[in-house]
Amino acid sequence: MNATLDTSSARPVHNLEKASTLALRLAHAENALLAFSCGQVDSIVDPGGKIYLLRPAQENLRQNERRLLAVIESTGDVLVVVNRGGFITAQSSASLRVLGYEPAEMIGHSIFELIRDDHLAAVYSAFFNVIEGFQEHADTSFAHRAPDGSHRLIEATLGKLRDGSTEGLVFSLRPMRTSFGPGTEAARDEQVSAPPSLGKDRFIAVLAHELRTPLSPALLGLEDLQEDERFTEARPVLTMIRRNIELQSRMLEELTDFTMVGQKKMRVHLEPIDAHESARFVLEICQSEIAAKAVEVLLDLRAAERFVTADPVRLQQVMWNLVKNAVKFSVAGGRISIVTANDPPGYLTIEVADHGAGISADLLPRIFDPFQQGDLAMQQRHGGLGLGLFIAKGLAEAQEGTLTGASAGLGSGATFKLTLHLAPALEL
Amino acid sequence: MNPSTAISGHSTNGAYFFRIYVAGGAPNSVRALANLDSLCRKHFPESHRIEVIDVLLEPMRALGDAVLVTPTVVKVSPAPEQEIIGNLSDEGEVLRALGLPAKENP
Repeated sequence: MNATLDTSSARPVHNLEKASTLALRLAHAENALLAFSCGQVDSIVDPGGKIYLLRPAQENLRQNERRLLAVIESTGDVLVVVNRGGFITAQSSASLRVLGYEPAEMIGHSIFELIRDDHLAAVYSAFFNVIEGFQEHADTSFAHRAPDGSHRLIEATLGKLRDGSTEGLVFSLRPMRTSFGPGTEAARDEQVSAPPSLGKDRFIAVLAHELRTPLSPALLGLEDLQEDERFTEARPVLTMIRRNIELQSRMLEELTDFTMVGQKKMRVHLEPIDAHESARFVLEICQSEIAAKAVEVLLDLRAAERFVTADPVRLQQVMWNLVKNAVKFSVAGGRISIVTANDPPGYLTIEVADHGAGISADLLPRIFDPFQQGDLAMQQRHGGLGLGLFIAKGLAEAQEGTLTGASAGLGSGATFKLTLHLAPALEL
Repeated sequence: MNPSTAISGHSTNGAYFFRIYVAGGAPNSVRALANLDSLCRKHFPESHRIEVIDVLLEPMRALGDAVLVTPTVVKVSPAPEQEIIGNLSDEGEVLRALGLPAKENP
């Protein structure tokens, strides 16, 4: 306390010095900032004594930029620069002619606002393919609704913007020959309304992968929590969370497989496999589901020739799908059967039958279509995306086999039959 | 070579003494030095001295002199000491900022 009183007389002078030093420093800093903003600074002295050299010749860059823009505009294209999120950050001045908007109006808006809803998927997929580096450039086309209500067909080439500091895309837009009003024949122009399906599948695959990535660490963390004795009471909740994450992960896996099957890009490694062993293994991994529903399983492995030509992992996946489905659509306490045979000779068939919900005659032809799972109520009851059978059939065919389904109707159960080639006799 | 280089007019102990902090051959630094040299030749042809300090060679000196960025020019004499930052492209502004008299019709 005394010290404070003692120094009170000396302090003003000291403070004044300090203040003027500070003011001087502040003035220096302000000058430096001003020079900096004028592009007249070429290095910065770091308080640690390190010198940072700045990128030289900003003026030249700006001049080059202007020249480049002039060249581009002379081509008649509109250039729209968007960031990773699709928001417009810059564009050339011809946009009024092509898009009907003043350039300044569009800055900060999403490029996707310009695109008619039914063409969004195609443009999204082009966007993702380029920004994720799958493609250097992507061509697409879309209908754009101008402020005056007219629809304009626009061709677009997308390219990744490389200027080091920012990440984004450049849309190079040009009008297609036809322009049309709402409701006219041209509005249903086949050329633009059919999105390139490969791009779409790619988009889904990328999306599914991205969505799955965060789930793995979440699952690992959950496992730790489940084993942690401090959270004994929370275990039921943790189990529920885990089940849901696993479900989500499986659905995303299905989506990935779905696109692979859709593109017929599933890679299989065919080799002689003991189908009976696979069947037993699959039953084992389905044990918890089987037990949960108290389903009785009849396993009748009567085929004499049990070695097939298949991909070990994919064969299990197909069978797993079939068994899981059979359990899913069985009533509690019901019965399913898995029967193998060599009929016709040279083949091995695996029949998975249940006595559950069955399939109505009108649905039967569509059960292998993607996203089919009976009616909406059925979907809600059983969960999942309705891709399992589509994937299973695709996988069977990738292994040069077939998968068929039959049912006597609703309530009469269903039977799925997987047919695979027998492996050539092993030379022992 | 000595990192600090003196560029002198006719008198080595001239009344006008400038210290310029540059970053090697960086464009603004080179321009600032050229502009300062030409300004001195024009306005104080008889009595000026310029000390060039390359912060890339003498970073600790730049730090000791509280230099924040390059190019920075300090007018050491005549007093008071004053500094200006930038490539000195506007001669009139430089003279004004450093409190120096412009020579009429040189």
